[in-house]
Amino acid sequence: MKTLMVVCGSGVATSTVVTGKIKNWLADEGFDGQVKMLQSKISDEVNHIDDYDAVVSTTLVPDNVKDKVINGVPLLTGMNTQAVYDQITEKLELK
Amino acid sequence: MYFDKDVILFDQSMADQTTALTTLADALQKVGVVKPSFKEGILNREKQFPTGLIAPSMGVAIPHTDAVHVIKPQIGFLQLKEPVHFNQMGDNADVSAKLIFMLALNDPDLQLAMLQRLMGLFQNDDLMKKLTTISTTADFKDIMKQAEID
Repeated sequence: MKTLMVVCGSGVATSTVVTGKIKNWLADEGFDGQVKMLQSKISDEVNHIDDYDAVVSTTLVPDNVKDKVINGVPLLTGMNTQAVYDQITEKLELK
Repeated sequence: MYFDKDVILFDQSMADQTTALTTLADALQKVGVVKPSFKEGILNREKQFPTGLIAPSMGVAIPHTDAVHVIKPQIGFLQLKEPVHFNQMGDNADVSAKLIFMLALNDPDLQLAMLQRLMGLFQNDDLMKKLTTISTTADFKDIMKQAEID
């Protein structure tokens, strides 16, 4: 089971939307049994990025962890959402 | 339920982002749905983690803060005469926000459907354009009903 952490600034608003979108996508693709979804605020997770197989954020993350985090904002605006799903697929090695 | 306190402001001129955020936060506090600490929470949060979004038809912002500052879920709406500068969440890109939805939320599970519909609304160019031209609470609530947010 892979772990996917979704973070935003407060852990209540946009991370909730992104979690919902990713859950639906995982189910549509038949990946839902492979991934455990978690949700939190960035300030609680910034030192634990490596604890998860992938991290999606709707907020800015510090430069030292930037490369490890997928920008989830396209899932909010609806523009270029596939790029986010492609990065998740790659990071979690879903197939 | 999210608009029952009528924190719905039209055609407002705001000098800057802070003025816009303060105006909405004060209005929410006045109707008793947020604690006095909400405003400070909103301002700090926006500095640390901006909430602008570049929607397909225009820039918007969805300022919000921790649930601890919220008494009752509510959304404040501000329609701006001239856009106000925000930064986009995630990448800090410049956003000229024409509409602001200030979210006072305290239960992510219950509010998920509403948040998803709000993001859906941002992608509906037709309804978004209407939101920039309407000037009555009744029209606003009508659009929100069409977007299934109420």
